[in-house]
Amino acid sequence: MTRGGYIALGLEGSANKLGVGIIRHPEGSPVAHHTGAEILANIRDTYITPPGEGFLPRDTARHHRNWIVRLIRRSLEQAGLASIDDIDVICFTKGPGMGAPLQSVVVIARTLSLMYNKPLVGVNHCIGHIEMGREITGAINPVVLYVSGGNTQVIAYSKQKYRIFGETLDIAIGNCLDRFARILKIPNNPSPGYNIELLARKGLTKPENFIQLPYTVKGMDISLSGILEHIENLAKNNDGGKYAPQDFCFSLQECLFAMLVEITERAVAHVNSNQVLIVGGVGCNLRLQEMMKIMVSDRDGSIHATDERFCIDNGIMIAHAGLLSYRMGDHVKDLREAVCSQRFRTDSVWIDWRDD
Amino acid sequence: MSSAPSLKDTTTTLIPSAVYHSNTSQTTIKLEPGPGPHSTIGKTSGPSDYVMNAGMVDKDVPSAPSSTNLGALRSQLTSLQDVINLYLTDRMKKNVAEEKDVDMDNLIGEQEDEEDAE
Repeated sequence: MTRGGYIALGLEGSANKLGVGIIRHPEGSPVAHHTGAEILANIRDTYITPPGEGFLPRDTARHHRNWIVRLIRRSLEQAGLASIDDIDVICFTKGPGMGAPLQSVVVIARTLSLMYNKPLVGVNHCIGHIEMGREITGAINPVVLYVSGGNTQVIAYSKQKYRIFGETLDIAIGNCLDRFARILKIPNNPSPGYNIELLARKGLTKPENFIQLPYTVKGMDISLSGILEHIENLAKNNDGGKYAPQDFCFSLQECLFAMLVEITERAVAHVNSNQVLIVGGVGCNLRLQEMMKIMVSDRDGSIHATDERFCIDNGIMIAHAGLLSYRMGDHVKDLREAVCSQRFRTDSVWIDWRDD
Repeated sequence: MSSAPSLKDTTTTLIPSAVYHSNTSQTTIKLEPGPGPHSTIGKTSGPSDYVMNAGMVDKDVPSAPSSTNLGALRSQLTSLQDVINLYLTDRMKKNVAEEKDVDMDNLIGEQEDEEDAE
């Protein structure tokens, strides 16, 4: 323990964002809810490709490898720390995510651990989002909608695990939006999803230009690949330019977000909760938050969401979740355990810092 | 926690190397970075042609090595990575050229059953 509290370094690189965060938990602070965490640094650099292109694992990993040391140095400076000696624990994203980018971050975590003789904690990326969302918003026991480029899940906590109530049956919602953005050559800077949101905000060019898409909800699960294929075909064969980009973006968002609201409402009713927390990169979308708020308000509940600093992948959430785990006595005992995995389910993590 | 970084002061004489062996090869190969000169710009670790052809501007060039022992180690590791990549690529090309039959049973025998791995 350092200087009247615990300080953790968090390293995130499961996709195209490379994040480094440094967090401090005050001494004696609770671990179950709201630690009073202080964010000392939260820096991110994004690997951005030209319009119409996705990000390849090899090039994304190269970006992470070549920026990580510079970002760590900058984060230490921002945190006012002299060196990694001042940090108690190094936390890294263990998974899920893209293999090569994940590996590049694990390697630096292991190296720093050896060089500075610091313990390591591997963190589930999804748990990082949830715990950071709870810490920032003050939500105590919410139903969580986790929506990003790689994940789409409706989650609720019960008996030491975050249980998955519903999820996508094929591609993630962010992946659906990103891939559609490539068809229209919508820029990837700052992110394709945000640029779709801006186009959708313009509204339909004409009311009759709303595009009916194959809305697919199965219980608390959703399917998105059919919607993507349908709208991709329409966009490629846009009859005489009938539809403008904003028509596509508006229609796609309305359909996808309505599906998310429906499955979230079903989970809220099932667990009898009155709080909804939205996390993940797509969670910053103001239209999604607005639609969710309408549903939650009808149930006399409250909606909790964060801005891009915490919604989009970041290092601070890895530091926070890792520190919660470390304070419960969990850390890597053998360096050979400091590995990553592309598949790492949210409900496979034992949440020992929360009560039943 | 100890504040003595264990690797910082011991890199003067360290030369990184890699050892490669597999089920399909009888020999074990030791790879070394070679005589140099070494730098952090690798021959095989640049951006992929695909993204460059799509109009990518490469902003992710590695920083120059520092003048410390760790900086020298970084450069040597980049060269070593090149040697490894070239060796493995060459090996794959040879396999394809010779249409070598790989004994898949041996390879599969080394894997865990999927059910056991769960």
